[in-house]
Amino acid sequence: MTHEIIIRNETSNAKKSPIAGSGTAATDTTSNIGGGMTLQQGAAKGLVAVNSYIKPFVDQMITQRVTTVSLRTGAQELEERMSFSLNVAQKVVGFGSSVAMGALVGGVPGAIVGGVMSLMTMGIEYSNKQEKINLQHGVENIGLRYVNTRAGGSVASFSGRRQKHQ
Amino acid sequence: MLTQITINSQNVRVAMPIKWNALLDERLDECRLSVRQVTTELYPIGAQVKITVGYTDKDFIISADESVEVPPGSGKYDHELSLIEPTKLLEGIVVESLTFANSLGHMYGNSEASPAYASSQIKNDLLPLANNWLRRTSPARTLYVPELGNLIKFKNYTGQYKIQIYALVYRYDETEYDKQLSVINNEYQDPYYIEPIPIKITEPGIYRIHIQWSSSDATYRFSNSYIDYYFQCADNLTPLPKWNICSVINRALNLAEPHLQSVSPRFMLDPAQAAEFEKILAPEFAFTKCTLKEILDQIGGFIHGIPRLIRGESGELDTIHYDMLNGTEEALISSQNIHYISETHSQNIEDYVTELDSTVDNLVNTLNSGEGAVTEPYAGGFKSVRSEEAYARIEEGNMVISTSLPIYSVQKLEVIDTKNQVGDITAYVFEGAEYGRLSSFDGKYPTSKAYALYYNLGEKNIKGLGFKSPTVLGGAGAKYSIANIIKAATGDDSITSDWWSGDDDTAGNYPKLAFRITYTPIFSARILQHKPYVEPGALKLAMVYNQGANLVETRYYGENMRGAVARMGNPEFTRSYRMPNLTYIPKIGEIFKRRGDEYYISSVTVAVYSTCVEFTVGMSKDFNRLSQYIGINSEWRAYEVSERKAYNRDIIYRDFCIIGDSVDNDGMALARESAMYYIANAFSHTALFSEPLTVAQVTTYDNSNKPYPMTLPVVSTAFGNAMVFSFGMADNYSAGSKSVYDGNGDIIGYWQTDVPYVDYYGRAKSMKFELGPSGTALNFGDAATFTLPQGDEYVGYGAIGTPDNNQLEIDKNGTEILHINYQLEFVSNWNDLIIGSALARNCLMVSKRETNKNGDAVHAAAVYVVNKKVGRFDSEIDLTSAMLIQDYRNNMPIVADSIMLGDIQSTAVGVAWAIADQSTGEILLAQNMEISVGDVIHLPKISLRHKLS
Repeated sequence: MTHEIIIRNETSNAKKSPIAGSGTAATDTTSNIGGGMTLQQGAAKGLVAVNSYIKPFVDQMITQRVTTVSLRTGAQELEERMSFSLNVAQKVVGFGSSVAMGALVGGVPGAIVGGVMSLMTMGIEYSNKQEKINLQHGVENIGLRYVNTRAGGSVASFSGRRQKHQ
Repeated sequence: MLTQITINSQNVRVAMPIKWNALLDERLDECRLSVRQVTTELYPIGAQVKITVGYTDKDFIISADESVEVPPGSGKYDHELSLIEPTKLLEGIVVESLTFANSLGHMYGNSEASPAYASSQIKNDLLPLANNWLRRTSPARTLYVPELGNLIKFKNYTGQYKIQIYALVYRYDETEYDKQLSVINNEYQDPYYIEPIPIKITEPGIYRIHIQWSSSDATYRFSNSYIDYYFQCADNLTPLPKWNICSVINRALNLAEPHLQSVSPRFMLDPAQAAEFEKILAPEFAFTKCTLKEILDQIGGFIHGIPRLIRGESGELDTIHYDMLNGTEEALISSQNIHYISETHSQNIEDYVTELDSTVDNLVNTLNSGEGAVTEPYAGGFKSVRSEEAYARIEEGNMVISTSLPIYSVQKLEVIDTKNQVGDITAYVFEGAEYGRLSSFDGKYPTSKAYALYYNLGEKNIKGLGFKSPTVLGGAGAKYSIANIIKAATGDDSITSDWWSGDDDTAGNYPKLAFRITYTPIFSARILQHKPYVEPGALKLAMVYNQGANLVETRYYGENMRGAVARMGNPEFTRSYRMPNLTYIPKIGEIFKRRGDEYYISSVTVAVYSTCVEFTVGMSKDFNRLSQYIGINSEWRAYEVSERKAYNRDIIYRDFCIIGDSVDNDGMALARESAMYYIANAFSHTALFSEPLTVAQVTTYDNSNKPYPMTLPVVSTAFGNAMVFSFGMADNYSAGSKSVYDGNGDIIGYWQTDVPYVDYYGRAKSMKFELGPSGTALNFGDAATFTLPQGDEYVGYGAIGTPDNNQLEIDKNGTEILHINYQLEFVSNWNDLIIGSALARNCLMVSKRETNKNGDAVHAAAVYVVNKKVGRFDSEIDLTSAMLIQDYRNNMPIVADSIMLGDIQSTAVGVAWAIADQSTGEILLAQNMEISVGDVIHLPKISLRHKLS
C-alpha cells in the first residue's frame, strides 16, 4: 500500500498572505501594480527575492574568493583586511536593506527605525568586542604585574642593552 | 741536625732519614716516617704530625700506619707511617651546592637612548629631524623635551613672528590610557634656540609628550602640526659589588660546615693573600656537591694557584693559603749556583705531545662581543625571512629571521625596507623571558609584543614577527609587529597589506622582508693547538684533549689548551744536592735558570739525615696550569633572581643523641628540651609528645634583616639510626605560591603569585626555624588559607628549632634553591652498646602512635633479659624466650639534662639485656653482658649534642 503526500502552496498567487493581517483593506493604502500587488508589496517582494536568492549567491562567490587568499598566496593579512572590507560592505548592504525594509513597512519612520536598529546592532557588536578585549587586557595586566614583581621590578630590556651590564 | 717529631703533640723517636716530597700540581705533599719502639699499637688516621728540622716546621697528618710488635710480646711497636699534608682534611668535607651569581642591577641614565615610536603629523613646511626619543631613567629626575630645533626644521622661517609651543605630558596608564599630567604653554621668538623644556617625573611608568606649535605668521601655518614622543621611566637599582676571589673563598669557607650565627667558621683565608685576591674578579662559579678541596681547587684553577691547609696565627690547622704558580722568584740554588751532586734528564713518549686536538661543543665568546660574532648572511648583505618548518610555504604566520647557529646574544639586527632604507632594529629584540613580560595588548614600545621580536637563548632564529594585538576589527585592525617596528625605524609603512589592493594573487611583501643579523653564537668547533716551539725534525704526535663544561668561553679554553700543550711532553731534568741545613731547599713553583732557559721547580724530594739534608729538585720547562677554569664568566638571565638556572642547595644540620655516659650539651644542638621528651617517649609511647613533626615555621632574613615568615610542610622519616626532617623552598625566589584576591574595574578574581623568601637580589642571610606537630586551625575562607605558605602560623611546642637570636647562617645567593635537612642521629659512647634502628623508627617525632582497641600503645618498649647474645646487626629479639623485667608502657623515662633509662635490678638470668618493641621484638637498645638474678643493670643515658667532641 502506498501513500502519496501532496504539498500545496496556496499563497503563491497572493490569494492569501503568509503574514497574518496583511492584505486587508485597512492596510492597503498603496497603488496597485497589477497581479493584486501594491507597489510597496512588489518592492518588498523584490527585496526579499534579492536578499534570498541573489545576495547569497554573490556573497558565496565573493566570500569564497576572499577566504582563500591566504591559502592561495600565504598573505594572511591581506585576507584579513579583504574579509573585513567584505564584512563592512555586507553591513552597508544590510544597513541599506534594513532602511529599505523599514521604509517599505513603515515609511520614513520605519526607515529610521530600521537604520537605527541596524546601526545599534553594529555598535553593540563592536562595543562588545572592545569590552571583551579590555577585559582580557585587564586580566593580562594583573598577571603581568605579578610576573614583573618576580622579575625584580625592572622593566623588560632588549637583548643588547642587558648584555652590557652582565 | 736538630730534629723533633711529634704525633698529636707527643714526642716520638724516628729512624733517619726522614723523607718527604712536594709537587707542583694538585697532588699533595707526602712523607714517610719510621717510628720505633713505642707502646702505641696503631696511630689514628688523621693524627697531626709535626716535623721540626732546625727552625723549619712541616705539618702532616697520618694517612696510613703499619705496625709490628718487636719483639713479639714486648708491647713495643715499630711503625711505618705514611703522612700526607693536612690539605687532605679538606677532601673530607662535603659542601652543600654553592653558587656565585653576580647581581644585574639596573642603572638607567640619560645617555641610554632607545628608540621610541613617535607619531607625527608634519606639514610640508616642516621636516622631522629626530623621530625617536626615549629615555629610561630614575624617578624623581627631570627630563627635558629636546630643543625643537633638534627635532624639526622650520622651512623658510624668518623669525619675524613669535611661535607658541604647547606641550602636553601624559602618563600612560593601564586603565586610563592617557592621563594628563602637565601642560607647558610658552611663547618663543626664535624656535631654533628654544631652551629645552624641563619635565619632572616622579613615578616609574610610560609617558607621552605631545608637542604642538603655532605661529601668528599666516604664511606658515604650524597649528595642525604635532609630534608625539614616548619615554619610559624606571627605578634605578644599584648592582651589588661583583664577586671577587677573596669573597668567593670566604663564603665557601663560611658555609663549608653549617653553623649558627654565633659560631665562627672553622677555616679562614690567609690574611696575607686576602688583599691580593680582592682585586681579582671571579666568574660566576657554581659548585655542586663538591668537597671543600675541590671547590678550592676550582678557584685555584682560575687564579693559577694551589690551595694548602696550613697552620694559621691561632696555631691551628685552620688557614687556607694558595701556592701561586706564576711566580717569578728565582730559587737560591739557581741564583747562587749551588753545587749539585748529580743531574739526570728524562723524556717519555707517554707524555710526549706536539699538539692537542680538541672537539668542543657549546663554545661561546662572552668576553669580547666583537670576537667570534657571526653576521648573517654577510656584511653588506640581507637575507629574506624563512620558515622553521622544512619545505613549508613561507608566510606571515611562520616567518622567522633565520640564523644558522644557536644565539647567545644579539648584537645587531638590521632590516631593509621597501624603499631600500636600512633600519637598525636591534632594540626591538628581546630574549624569550623578557618577551614573556610584554603585554599582548598594550601598543607601546618597549612594553608591547606589538613592538618586539624575540629569540630563546641557545636556540636558532628570531621570532615574533607576525604578532598582532587583538582589535575590534580582528586582524584587519592591527599591524604585524615587524610592520610596526619597520615603521618606527625607517618610517616605511608600505610593508603592510593594502586594505583592498584588488590584487589578491600575490604573496605580498612579508616573505620579501630581508634582514642582516650580527650575533654571538653558541657553536661547536674542532681545534688544533701546537706547541709554540718544536725542535726541527722532532716527532709529531697529537693527543685528544676534551673538556666538560656546559658553556665554554673561547678565550679561556684557548688559554687552557695553549698552557696544556706547552707543559706536556717536555724533557725534564733533576738535580740532587747535599746541604748542611734546609735553607737552600727551594719552594715548588720557583724559577731555576740553566743555560739561558727558565725552568719551573715542579717537585722537591727531601731526605733529612742526622748530619745533613739531601734533596732532589725536579724541573720542568713551561710548567703551568693556565686557565683551568674554562666556563663562561656569567650566564645570561633576564631576572635579577635568575629565572633560568638554579641549583638545589641542600643544607644539612646534624645533632647527635649520644647514648651511654651522659655528656654536656654544647649549646649548638637544635633539638630542644621537648625533643628529649619525644625521644623518651619512644620507649613509653604515652599520648603526650606523640604527634609527628610535620610543620616547619620558617623565617628567612635578608641582609637588611627583613624577615620573610613562612609555614612549610616537613617530611619526617627515620633512616637507620637517624631521624631526618626535610623542608624546602619551591625555587630560588619563592617558597611556594599563594592566592591573591585582585582586580581592576570589572575584573576580579584570585591570582596565583609567589611567596618570596629572599630580597631583590635573591639573597637571604640567615634563617630561623622551628619544627612542630601542627599549625593553627583554619576555617573556610580564612586569610591564611589563601596566603600559605606565607605567614607565621603558630606551631606550638616546637621540638626542634634554632635558638632565639641565634639563627642558622645561610648566606644564600640568587641562583640557589634552599632545602633544609635536619638530622638527629643516635650514636653511642659505649663501645659495646647496640643501637637498633627501631629506636629512631619508634620515636614519635617521625611516626604515628598506634593504639589497640583498649587505647593502649602498641609499640611501647620494655627491658628484657635474654639468654642468647645479641648480634651487632640483629634487628629483633625472640620475645617468647625473653624475660621482661621493666615495662615502659605509660611510664616515660625521666628527662633531666639527659634521658635516664634507669638502673634496674634483674629478676632473670641471661647473657644480654635488650630494650625492645613489645609487639614486634625490634631492638631499640641492647648490650651483651652476663646477668644474674639480683644484678643491677645500669642502663645508658641519652644526651643531646651538636658536635661529637
